[in-house]
Amino acid sequence: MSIGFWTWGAIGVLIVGPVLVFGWFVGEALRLVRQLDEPDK
Amino acid sequence: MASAAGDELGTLAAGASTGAGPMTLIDYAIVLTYVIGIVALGVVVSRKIRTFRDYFIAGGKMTTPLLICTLVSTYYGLDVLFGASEVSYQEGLVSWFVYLRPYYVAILVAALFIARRLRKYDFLSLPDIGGHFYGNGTRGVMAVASFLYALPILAIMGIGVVLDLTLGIPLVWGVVIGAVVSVAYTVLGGLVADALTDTVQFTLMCVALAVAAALALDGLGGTAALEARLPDSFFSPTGNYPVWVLIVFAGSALSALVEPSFYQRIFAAVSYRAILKALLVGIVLWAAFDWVVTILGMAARATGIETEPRYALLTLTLEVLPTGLKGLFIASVIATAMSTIDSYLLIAGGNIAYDLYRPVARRPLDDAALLRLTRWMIGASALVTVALALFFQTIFSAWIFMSTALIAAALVPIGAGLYFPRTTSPAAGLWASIAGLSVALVYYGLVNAFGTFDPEWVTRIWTIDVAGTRIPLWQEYALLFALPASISGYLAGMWLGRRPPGREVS
Repeated sequence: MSIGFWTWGAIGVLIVGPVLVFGWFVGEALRLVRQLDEPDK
Repeated sequence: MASAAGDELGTLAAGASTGAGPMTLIDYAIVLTYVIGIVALGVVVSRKIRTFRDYFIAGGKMTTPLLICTLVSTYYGLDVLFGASEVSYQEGLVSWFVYLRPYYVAILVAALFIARRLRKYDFLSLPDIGGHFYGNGTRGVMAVASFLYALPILAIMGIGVVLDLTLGIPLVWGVVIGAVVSVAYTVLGGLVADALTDTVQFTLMCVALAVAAALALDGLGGTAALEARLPDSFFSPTGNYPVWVLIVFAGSALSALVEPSFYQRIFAAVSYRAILKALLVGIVLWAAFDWVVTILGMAARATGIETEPRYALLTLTLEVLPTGLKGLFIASVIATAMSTIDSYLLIAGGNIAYDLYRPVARRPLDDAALLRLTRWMIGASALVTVALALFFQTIFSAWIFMSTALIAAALVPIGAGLYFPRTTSPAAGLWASIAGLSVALVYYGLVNAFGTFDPEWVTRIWTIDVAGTRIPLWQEYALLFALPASISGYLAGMWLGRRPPGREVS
């Protein structure tokens, strides 16, 4: 396959991937902070 | 054949490389706001840090999405952004095929084989492994090698480059400013703050780079224009490099098997499955990111930009991004550097306080003292980083040096400890790490003492005469001597030493 195929494919991965899962990332980050506030069991 | 759009792009970019920069007030405001926001987040998180374990491995509570963010963005240091584009600007696709692709294989091996084994133990750092299998001597040598590797030379150098291009600040002062700001942030937040900031900068960095690449290629006339304007060698997977340099390029990927920041995140993960999934997703994102960086370096060359190779990607993106997005891109580049500096200064400081000082301290260090000492050592590590950042001529050279030191000291003892524990003895581990590290350092010393700087390859080369044959020894060849020395040291130690009873982490 051509350089163009791989290049536009990679650009698509970099745009679509992080945007779709950004909310998930932030949710997990906030959950981690809350966990640190909890005493160790 | 160059298009008018391409010519215009090249002319504008040449202007940017003088340091004047095409940034507007809006762009500067975005950069400033973003950096202040990131540092403020570090301040807030620092109030939640109670123990060294919280600070160093986020309490061992990190889940897959956070691991993806922090792994990908930490390892996406500016070494990749500027180092890979530096090589592709000069040589083409060889940058991805030889310089970057071997890392995906090494990371896959680390994910499938090393991470699972490591999760069986209660380690906090890479040298902990050496201490467990071979005793405090090997722990010390590994700590020195890990410290050298972890010094964020490339990220500090990268901030200097960014400030040079955008604000016209001389490289030396940019490096110093970057270090001071980053240390102030690093000592506060530890790994938790790092992971939180990574979630934001990871997304920004990927999207901004992808948009910049799309706009640059559109202005150039698509990827077909690259093939029309660049020599055929730019599309060869091996380029014009001598074969030994290609081997060293690929060999430096072995560092992924003993990467301190990988190990730290393996220990910080909530489970093995979490780190496995994060590394597998990471490989896809790394490959896509690296490919785009490589193509952007080539696009910079195709537009006719006349600049230092390491400036090529940044110069081009500054030209193609519109106001606002340009500021966001620079902010994300700076945040990428700060995140990398944060992670690696944390490891370097931990290497001195936790791995080197703590085992030999006359009185046991309590948690608060260990945390305090680590923060001080982060500052000391930053000073050493600035000195080394100003010493190396290219980002590529600095990266190879750091990888070589770590691989030479740690790969053989750790691999043997995890997979051939019956062969371990204090002498084997110590001899392997000392032999590997000392040969690497002596080799670098010799090439720098007797070699000369080669402006074509931008590195030091020592040409020796052996029976009438002239052999050029690049400083980057150190690994070719250091790794066999480490293996020999291990075998000699195995033969001479005796296997001790099992040791526990002290």
